[in-house]
Amino acid sequence: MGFPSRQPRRVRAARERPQFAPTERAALDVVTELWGTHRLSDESFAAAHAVFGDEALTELLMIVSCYYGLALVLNAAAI
Amino acid sequence: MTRIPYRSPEDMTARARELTSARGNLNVYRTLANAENVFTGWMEAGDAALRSPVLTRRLRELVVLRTAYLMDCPYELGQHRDVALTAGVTGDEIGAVLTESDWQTGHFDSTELAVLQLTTELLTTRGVAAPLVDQVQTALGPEAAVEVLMVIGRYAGLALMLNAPDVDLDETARLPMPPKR
Repeated sequence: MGFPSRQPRRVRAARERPQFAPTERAALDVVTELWGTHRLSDESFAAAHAVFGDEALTELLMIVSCYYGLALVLNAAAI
Repeated sequence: MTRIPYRSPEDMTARARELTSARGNLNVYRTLANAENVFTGWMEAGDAALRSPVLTRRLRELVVLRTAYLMDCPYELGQHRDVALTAGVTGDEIGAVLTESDWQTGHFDSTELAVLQLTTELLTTRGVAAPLVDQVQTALGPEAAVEVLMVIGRYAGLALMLNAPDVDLDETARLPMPPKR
């Protein structure tokens, strides 16, 4: 069990498509880096903060947190 | 050094201020309070988890520490090294949980070992083999087993929220357990 290794590549490919607005690409970058490394580099944080500001970036982090945790519960319970 | 400013209690809504105060005005909550629209709901869900008597405080703290270690979250580790001591976890046991494999020998009973194994497997592979889930359910019952999974999920997600803005560990303040009312 576990996420297939190809999944992050799909996410990266999606955010590189031009149909995503800069704000959407910034959000996808945050999700991808947090998912893969459990943190954000200075450069990535600064880029996301410039787009979202304090309130929206914190809310984005709460969404990532919520669904990261939920995915673990769902996977463990094999739902 | 934090990358998102800590919200002052006087700049929070009354309910957010009350919930934050009940948890010691810790930096984690003052950071997350920036998300005004979702903060109080998130705090209230956490209150239910922290107050539930279904898991012993000791078992919950073992899960939290193992999660913090595997998520590489200095803030959670800093808080819960101290909180765990108040829940009957010894210093040697804390040291063992915060290693790759020392926890597997000589420190914990069979139920604690199964729960720590589940925590480790879930956070390193993002899944758990069915026999291990069955073992934990048999030992704890289904309600407590689900609470274990919810503790792992909550603290793994929280670790991301703490690591991303690099929230500073509070100098002396620690999470009051249970939270004050």
